[in-house]
Amino acid sequence: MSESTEKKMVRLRSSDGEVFEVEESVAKVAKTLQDMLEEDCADAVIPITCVRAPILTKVIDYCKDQVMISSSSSTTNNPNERTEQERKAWGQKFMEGVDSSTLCELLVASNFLNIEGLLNLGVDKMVSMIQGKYPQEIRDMFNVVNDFTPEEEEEIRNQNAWAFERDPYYKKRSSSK
Amino acid sequence: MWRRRGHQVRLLELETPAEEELLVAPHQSNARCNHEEFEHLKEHISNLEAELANFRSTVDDRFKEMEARFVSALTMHPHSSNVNVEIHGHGDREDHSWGNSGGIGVPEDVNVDVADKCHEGWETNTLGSKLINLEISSFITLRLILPLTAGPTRVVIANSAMSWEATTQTNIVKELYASSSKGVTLGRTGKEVGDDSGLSVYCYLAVKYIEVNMNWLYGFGKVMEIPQSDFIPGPLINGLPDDLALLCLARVPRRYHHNLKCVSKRWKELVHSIEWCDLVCETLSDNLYAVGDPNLTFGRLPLTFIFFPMWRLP
Repeated sequence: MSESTEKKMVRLRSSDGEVFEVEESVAKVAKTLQDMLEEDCADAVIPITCVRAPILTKVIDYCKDQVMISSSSSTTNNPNERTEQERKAWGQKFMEGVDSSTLCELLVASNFLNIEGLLNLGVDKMVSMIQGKYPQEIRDMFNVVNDFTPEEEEEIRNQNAWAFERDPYYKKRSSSK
Repeated sequence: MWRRRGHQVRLLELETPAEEELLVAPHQSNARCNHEEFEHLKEHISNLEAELANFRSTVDDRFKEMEARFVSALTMHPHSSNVNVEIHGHGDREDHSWGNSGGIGVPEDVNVDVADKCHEGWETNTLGSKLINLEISSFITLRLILPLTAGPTRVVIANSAMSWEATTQTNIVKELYASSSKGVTLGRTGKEVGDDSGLSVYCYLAVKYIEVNMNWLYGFGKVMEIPQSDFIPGPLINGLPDDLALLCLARVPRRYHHNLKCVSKRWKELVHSIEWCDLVCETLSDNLYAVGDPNLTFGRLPLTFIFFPMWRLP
């Protein structure tokens, strides 16, 4: 209890030099930072070299929210506790408007800082971005170079095409022919 | 009539002093195959091949018919590009029972036996969609399966005796290499390491294809990977390490995998790879169920059991 009143602060520096000051409890959501703090090897500013400032802001937002939930869930009836549904909705809202490059950075950051929840959120977002997309859209989204010749692509597309009749993509293609 | 006893050819009657060594330390380069043995084996192999060609010409038509039926059944199976096939050869079993294949009109003298003891494997693996375990007693089975696996195929020949199966083995190897463009992997289960018959098969295979992969002989017991033809390195997703990218891609529901395949060569390689197969099976928990005519059988195995796992449609 006395710890929370003291509110020990931790300073984090992003790759572009911006320094963030957060409560220790917030920083501890990240397992990597938690380990560092517990081993007392982080008295000054902690450099997080692979994460840019806007991404770090997002990560800290997430961590703050986690702290809010966990601190309140220890008491019996609290207004902040969420049901499964609410948590999902919150996750969606949190990831709203994140584009693919930001998402990639976010994934790398959460992987580096070892924040499982955020990583899962990111992966789910990624999956929802990929699924149901045409190959061309996926390529555009992730800047993947199309190294198939048109014939090859056609060939792959026609393999097992029957299985995708229900897929609007294939319907569209076959009807356009 | 083709009976296995009619094809009893002892191929490996060599003294293999290095055998114990090999089995103890399979990954060390202790395996030796001296020149004499080598020539000896080569001779046998050429004999076998002649015999085989003879045999084949007589039954080929029947195979073709049967194969066609099977292929048509399997091409309807959307999963077929990612099937791993594990094939176990029989040991020399005296009480070996020949399944009289009903159902799909296998001629009486072309017997396919899918042994009972594999049923358990079938159950867990097929429905878990990960591995198909087949106990193969003739190359017919293999011929039926290989065309169906458009993706990489892991074929494990285990516990195989050389005697009556010599023809079979020749064929298996032939088929495997014919389809090596598909990225077929040859491997050994390692469970039956103490079984010398398995060893002989390996010696045999190694000798036959020594020019293909010298390392195989020396790296005894290791799984040999036939290199994929056009592997393109580079990140799957720009700005994301491959392990993270894989984490994401593996969670994409199966019905969109086809779209992933069309993205680029690297993605196609990925979706066709064995690692992908394993990863997806671990990650996704799609419900699989089987459809098909329950009256069809293949050997003693109902067809529904074998080749029709499908996922629930949305």
